Amino acid sequence: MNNLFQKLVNLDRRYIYILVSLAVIIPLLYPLYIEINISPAVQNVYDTIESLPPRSVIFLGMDFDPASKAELYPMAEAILRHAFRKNLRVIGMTFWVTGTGLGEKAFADIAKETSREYGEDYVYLGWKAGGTSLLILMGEEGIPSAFPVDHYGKDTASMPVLENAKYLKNIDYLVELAAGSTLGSYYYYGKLKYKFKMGGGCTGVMAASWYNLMKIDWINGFLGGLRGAAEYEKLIKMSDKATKGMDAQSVTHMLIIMMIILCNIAYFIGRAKANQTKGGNNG
Amino acid sequence: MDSSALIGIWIAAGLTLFMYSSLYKDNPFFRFGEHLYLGLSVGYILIRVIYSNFIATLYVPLFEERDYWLIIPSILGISLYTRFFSKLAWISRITFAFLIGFGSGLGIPRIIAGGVFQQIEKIITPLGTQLTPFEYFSGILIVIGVFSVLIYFFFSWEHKGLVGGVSKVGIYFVMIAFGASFGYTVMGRMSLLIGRCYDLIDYSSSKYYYATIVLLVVIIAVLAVYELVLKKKEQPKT
Repeated sequence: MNNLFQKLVNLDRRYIYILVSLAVIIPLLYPLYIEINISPAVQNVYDTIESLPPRSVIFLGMDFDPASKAELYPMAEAILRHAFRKNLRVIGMTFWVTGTGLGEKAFADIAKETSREYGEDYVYLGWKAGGTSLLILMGEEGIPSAFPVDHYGKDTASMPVLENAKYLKNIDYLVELAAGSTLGSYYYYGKLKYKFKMGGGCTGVMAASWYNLMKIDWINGFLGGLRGAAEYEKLIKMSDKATKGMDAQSVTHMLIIMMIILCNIAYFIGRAKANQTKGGNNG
Repeated sequence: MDSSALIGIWIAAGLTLFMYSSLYKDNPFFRFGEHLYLGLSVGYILIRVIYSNFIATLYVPLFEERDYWLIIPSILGISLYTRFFSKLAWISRITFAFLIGFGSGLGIPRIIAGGVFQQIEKIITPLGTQLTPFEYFSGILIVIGVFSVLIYFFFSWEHKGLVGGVSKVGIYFVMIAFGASFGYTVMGRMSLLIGRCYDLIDYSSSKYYYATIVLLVVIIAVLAVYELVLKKKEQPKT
């Protein structure tokens, strides 16, 4: 038994990688359908979008890149699905140049799925340099001034999707999907002055700190990591990648918890044994 | 499926496996993938900046629409590059002064109002309002947490006696916060792994001509040969 614990403490990390890989791959191949509970933070985002009347305008900030795609892309898809089903208008843009293509793909795929029309129901502004200056420009001079042409080079001023929604103050709800610090930009240079409602989604790494932002009313709710995306998929009754991923997530977490407990037991037993030997030698 | 999409999927599957091959040990596949990723990222950003920024917002308005006001920011922008020439580097300070002045003027009042004051206000006010017992308890806990953590990071007093006791409470709050963050970080990292595994499983279907399986076998075979060759080279000649 002691030998087994000793081996556990000195386990080659590659075995751990294999175990984690199996814990991820097997549930993806054979889903367990573990129950997902909805948290108030996610419910708030859903309720806000649900309460908007048809043709209201949502602004979707898609500030992520391929490195954070696994967590934030399913959120983008779920929110777009919800908005398009509710016949809302959506304006999308990104501050992350490396995420431009992801935003474009999410809009194109979900618009096709829900039969939405470009320019009429949604517009993808894409990426443009300028950072916070762009937000100030969108607030003061209007969205067509900041983006005279959209991601595809089309003239934005005449688009029906922007009718009565040319300025940030006209936005009914802004959802910021952030893998970095762009939520602060939207808040300081947007919401603070133009008073629109704001919600969001973030990577798991950032989720703990976003509860604080909810507490101080920067946002009214948020989707944290893959779990947040899965909760939203459950709310819109359309299980997709995030829901399937949650099984793998739960199994992996169980594995990690078990390994932490086992290795700690092994470590303490090993230490007690070493102390005993030391005491015996001294005696 | 058209051939360009299929090629893209095979490349994506291959490069993902290349990156994960580092879990075994450092190898040429991983190094190739890493360098390619860096090169492509920089190249992509450069092209996007040139087309979406330089051409769309400077070249076209200035030379085709004759908006001559743009000459001023262009000169300011170009002057940033004088940093590369020691004798002319002072010129860049004009642009930096403008950027820092503009950024600070715009940012500081908003950040203080929206970040500092709002946070303080939200910590203090709930205790004076109508709350449920749980909200009241939660509010008190937040006040104790903020106060004790601030004391922990206050170094003008020696941390002993009452101050030491309060700062110790602060340590526990900081530890709990780090624990929560770490838990979420593990979840985030696992999510990224799940995302890639999901794609790899998807790409191993007949629809994509078993891309993942074929590439995995090839990579393992090449790595095995590479290891054998390496071992033979390392063996001393007798």
